[in-house]
Order: sequence, then C-alpha cells, then structure tokens
Amino acid sequence: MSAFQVCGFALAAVILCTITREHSPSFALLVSFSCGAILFMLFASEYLNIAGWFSSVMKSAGVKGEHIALTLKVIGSAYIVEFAAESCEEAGLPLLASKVTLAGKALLISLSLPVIASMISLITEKMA
Amino acid sequence: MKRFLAVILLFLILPAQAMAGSDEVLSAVIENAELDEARKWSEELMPDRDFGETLIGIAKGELTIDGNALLSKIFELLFSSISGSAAALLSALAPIVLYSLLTGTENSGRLTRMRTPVRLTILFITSLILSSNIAGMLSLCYETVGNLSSCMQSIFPVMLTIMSAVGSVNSSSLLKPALVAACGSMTAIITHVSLPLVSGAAMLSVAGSVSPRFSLTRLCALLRNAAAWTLGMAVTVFMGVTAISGLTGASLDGVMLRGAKYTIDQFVPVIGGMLSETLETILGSVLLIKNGIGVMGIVLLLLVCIGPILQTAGAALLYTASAALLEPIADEAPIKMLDGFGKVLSMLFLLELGTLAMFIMLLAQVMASMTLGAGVS
Repeated sequence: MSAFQVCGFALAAVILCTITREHSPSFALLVSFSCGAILFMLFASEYLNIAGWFSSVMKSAGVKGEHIALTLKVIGSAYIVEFAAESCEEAGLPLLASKVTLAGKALLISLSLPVIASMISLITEKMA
Repeated sequence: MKRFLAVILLFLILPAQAMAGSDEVLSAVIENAELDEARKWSEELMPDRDFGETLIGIAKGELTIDGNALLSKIFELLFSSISGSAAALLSALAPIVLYSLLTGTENSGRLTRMRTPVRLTILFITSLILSSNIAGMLSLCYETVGNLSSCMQSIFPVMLTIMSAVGSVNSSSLLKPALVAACGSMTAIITHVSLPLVSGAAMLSVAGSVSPRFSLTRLCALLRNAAAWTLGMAVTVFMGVTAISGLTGASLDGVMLRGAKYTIDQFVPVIGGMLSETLETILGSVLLIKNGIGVMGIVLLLLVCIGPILQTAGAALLYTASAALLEPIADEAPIKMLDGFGKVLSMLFLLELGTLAMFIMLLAQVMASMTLGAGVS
C-alpha cells in the first residue's frame, strides 16, 4: 500500500468521523477505531517486513538471532500496547489506558526475564 | 646442575679453545641445561622450528628477525582480531540501532507510555551481550598474565643456572628473588589487585549507564586509575630494585672472575696462560648460550602474548569507534556503556603490555648483567 493510499484512507476516515460525530458519537468512535486498527495492521505488516530483512542481514553478518528476535518482539509488543492504550484514552477511558500500559510493562518484564537470568548467571560465574 | 658443571669442567680439560663457539659446544651446553619446559613452550608456539637449532642460530647471531615480515604479521593479526570481535560487537549494537530506528528520538518519539520500559529492556539486552564479551576479554587477560608468568618460569631459572655455573654466583643469587618477585608477587598484584579493579570498573560502567540520573562515571574512572597506579608503581619499584641488585652483583662477579683468571695465569706453571685463555673462551661460549636463551625467552614471551594483546587492542579500538559512530543516532546510555567498556579494554591492554614489558626488561637485564667485557678481561 502506498503512502497516498494510507493518507487518503486516513483523511476519508477523519471526514467520516467529523460528519457523524454530531449525530452519533458512538458511531464516530467505531469508525475511528476500525480505521486505526486497519492502519495499525498495515504498519504491522511493514514492521514484519523490516524485522525479517534486519534478521536476515544480521544472520548473514554472523550475528546470533535470539537477541535480535527478542528486541523485535519487545518493540512490537510495545507498539501494540501503545495502540491499545491510545484507543482507550480516545474513548474517554484513561483509567483503562493506564491498566493496559501496566499490563504491557509486566509483559516486557516477563519477556526480558531470560536476559536478566543470564546476566545474573554471568555475574555469579565471574564472581565464583 | 651437576651434569651442567661436569660438562663445563670437561671443556676446560679438553683443548677447548679450538672448539669453543662451534656448534658442538653450543649444542652440548643446550642439551645439558634444563630446558625441557622452554622446549615445550617453543614446540607449542613455534611448531615448525626445532628448538635447539633455533637457539644455536640465535646464539651465533645467524637468525635475524625480518622487521617488515614481523610488522605485516602483526597487522594481519590485528585485523583478524578486529574482524573477530566485530561480529560480537555487531550483535550488541543491533538492538540499539533497531531501537533508535523504530522508536525515534526522545522528543519526537512514537512511543510515549512504553518508552522507558522498552529502553530499559533494550539496554539490558545490549549490556548482557557486551558484558559477556568483556568477561571473555577479562579471562583472556588473566590467562595471558598466567601464561607469561609460567613461560618466564621456564626460561629464567636456566639462565640463572648458567650464570652461577660460569661464576656469576652473586648476580644469580641476587636475581633469584627478582624471579620470585616477578613471577610470584608481581603477577599476584596484577591478577589480584589490578585486574579485579578493572573488572569492577567494567561492572560499574554497566550499572552507571542504566539511569541518566545515577552517574557512576567518576567512580569508574577512579577504579581504572587505581588499577593503572598499582601497575605503574609495582613495575617501577620492581625494576628499580632488580636493576640496582643486578648491577651490584655484576661488579662483584667481575672482581671474582678477574681474580680467578689471574690466579690460573700466575700460579699454574707452564700451561697457566693457556688455561686462563681457555677459561675465557669457555665462558664466552656459555655466555653466548645464556644470551641466546634470553633472546629465545623474549621471543617466546612475545609469541605467548602477541595474540591476546592485539585482540584486546583491536576490541578497545572497535568499542571506542562504535561509541563515536553511534552517538548521533542512539540514546546516551548505551554510548556511555560502550565508551566505558572501551576504556576498560584499553586498561586491560595496558596491563598485558606492562606485564610483558616487565618480564622482557628482567630478561634483558640478566642478559646484560654478565658480559665478557664486564665479567672477565
């Protein structure tokens, strides 16, 4: 999908939302959400492309893939959580947004647990 | 030792003047000196060269070192070690670059709520990879210092034995504590004080880069400086003491040897003059071997540590360069960490170089401490 298509899609959604907001705010919210979700899906497919390209380049340079995969996973999860939290806030539910962020943080910590574990084992190994 | 003295006595009885300096004398001395350990090191480090032949070649001045070839070999080693650590460094830098590209800078960031946790996680991944690299470099440094010390232990006692066998009793008895100090105390100071200080500095540069409000840069610098000071002070004191004791011993030995030569010349009837000349020739060829062993020792020491030293230097160069190159795109934290690690690596390089320099100076001093010019004549 080209940049023109993305912009046109977003502008159409904006116009639709502005028109419908006066008559039916809930419908406008629905339009905004669905448009946001579609655009996010587009972003996600591009993100996966970038991630695949980066991993293959690094693999050809002789770099182990596990840490790069983890990095891509962490950044991707952060984007998803950020999207969900922003959507919550737009719907007028900041409390829910902060809960989503909290869950996202917990998710990141659980993703980085193996790294923390290997760091601790590295330190204890060197100390012993 | 006894066998060695017997060989020297044998040469005194034989018409040694004609033989001295020839290959037979040299190889007989080499065969009877306790060079097994040195031979083992030589076989390990120079598998394509015969130990005895190389030693005789060095002693007779036939084997010279080709400077150009050596320099090109050093550069080759340096580049191969740089490309070796480049792959390891790249795996640490990939998360930083990805993070910078995908999330933007602090002010124009695309992530607002999740920025700090993502930043910390990425920093953790990077610091894990970098720390394991640094830990590898640290253990390489420990290993190199240990190897240098044991290589020194295989060469130095032989030289002392040869020295005392040809009459430099004072020099060798004064230099024996120097050997114990070099291989024992000095190595212990480096491995138990300097290296732990450097590894502490490495740990602090990880800890200090996590939060911008919590800076440990100066503490890191203090630890690194402390390591440098310990090394510098220890090497200076050590070299001063051994130089003074070596000089005193050498002049004492000179007096003794002159006395012995004079006594033989004057008090042995008829053949006294010839015997005293023979004594000088024998001493000359044995000293040739002693210095040959010394040069061999220097070559072996260089071979032991040239690889690790170049590897450490290459890594230090690479870390500092990548910190400089990443500065425009990345956050401050990983740059600080890379920079700190670069400094730690240069400190490790200095430690290895300092140990090598100390050992080489000690060997050179033993080689210089008893020459025919100073000893006899």
